[in-house]
Amino acid sequence: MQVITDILRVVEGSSSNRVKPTHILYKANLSHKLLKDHINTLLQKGFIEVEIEKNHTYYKITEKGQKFMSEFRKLEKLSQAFGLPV
Amino acid sequence: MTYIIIPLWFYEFGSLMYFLSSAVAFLVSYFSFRLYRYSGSRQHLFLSAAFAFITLGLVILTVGNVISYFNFEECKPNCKIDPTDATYMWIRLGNYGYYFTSAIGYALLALSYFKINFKGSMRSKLKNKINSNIKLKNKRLILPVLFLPLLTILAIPAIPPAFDITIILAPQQTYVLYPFVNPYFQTFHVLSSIFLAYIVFQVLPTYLRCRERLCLLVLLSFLSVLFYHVLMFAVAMHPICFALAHFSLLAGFGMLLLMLVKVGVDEHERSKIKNASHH
Repeated sequence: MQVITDILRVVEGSSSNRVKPTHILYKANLSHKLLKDHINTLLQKGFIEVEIEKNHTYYKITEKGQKFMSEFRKLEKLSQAFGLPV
Repeated sequence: MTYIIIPLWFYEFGSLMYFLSSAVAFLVSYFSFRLYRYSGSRQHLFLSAAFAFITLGLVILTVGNVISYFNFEECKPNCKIDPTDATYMWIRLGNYGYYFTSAIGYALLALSYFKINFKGSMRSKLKNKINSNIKLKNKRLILPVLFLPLLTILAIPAIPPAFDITIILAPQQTYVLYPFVNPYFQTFHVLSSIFLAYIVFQVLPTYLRCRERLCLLVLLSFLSVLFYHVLMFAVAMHPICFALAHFSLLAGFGMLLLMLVKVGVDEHERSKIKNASHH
């Protein structure tokens, strides 16, 4: 769960609204294999989508992904307010 | 047994406060459960279950109070309620149900703070070497803590005292003469105060660390509910404690509601700013 939200945070936080896999790898501090597994999960859930431009792969957060993150942030804040770790 | 005199309108005003508090407690329980579904953490499950029990307790108390209020209205000006009356049964059901379920709720709330403290204090010294022992220790603590609310039931007398509650009609308004100081009443409020004092001491470092308004609201809400129980315990000293206690309870749950609203508003504003920057 933590990894999933970390990846979504990286994708969501990019200024161009899309990121390369290497950027996620670096920011979320993951191995290539783990990243691939989690990206597949996120694609299956419809939280991110792939964009291919000039032979480069980019990942972009979908509306469903944004809604999930918005919900998660609210619950995360609630947990932090009670002093409980997420 | 000590009785205090409550104006009938305030008796019902108290029911409204209990009802509003139960609605807020339900919201906290609902969002905590969703949090548990995201995180799978036992602490979130305890938090959700705790507020579910607190909700149930307040709902039982509200129902008991509302029914007895209508019975008081019917029988005034000369009500003498004894243990064979239905009104008496509703009041007892409302109070005992509230004492027991709320005490379980506070016990669970205290338990939700157990794990992090043990882990936090041990981690710095032993760097997770005895994590398995910590978990075992916590499991052993769960049952004794959950057993404590049973004290509220054990303190209930087997034979209810006669003329427990009386309605009197004064020249200006109707009053309820209420038996507020008895063993089960005191047991419940002492136990709740102990649990809440523990919770306040756990939430205080969180606020000192984060210094955010949300943490402050949670701290103040627990503090207000703690005051409610302390003031209710002290009700025999001065009747004003009864009124102050109820306002303290309302303030406590009001701050929890404010915290929930603020979480929602902050996220909504964040989304708006983000959308505007992308467009």
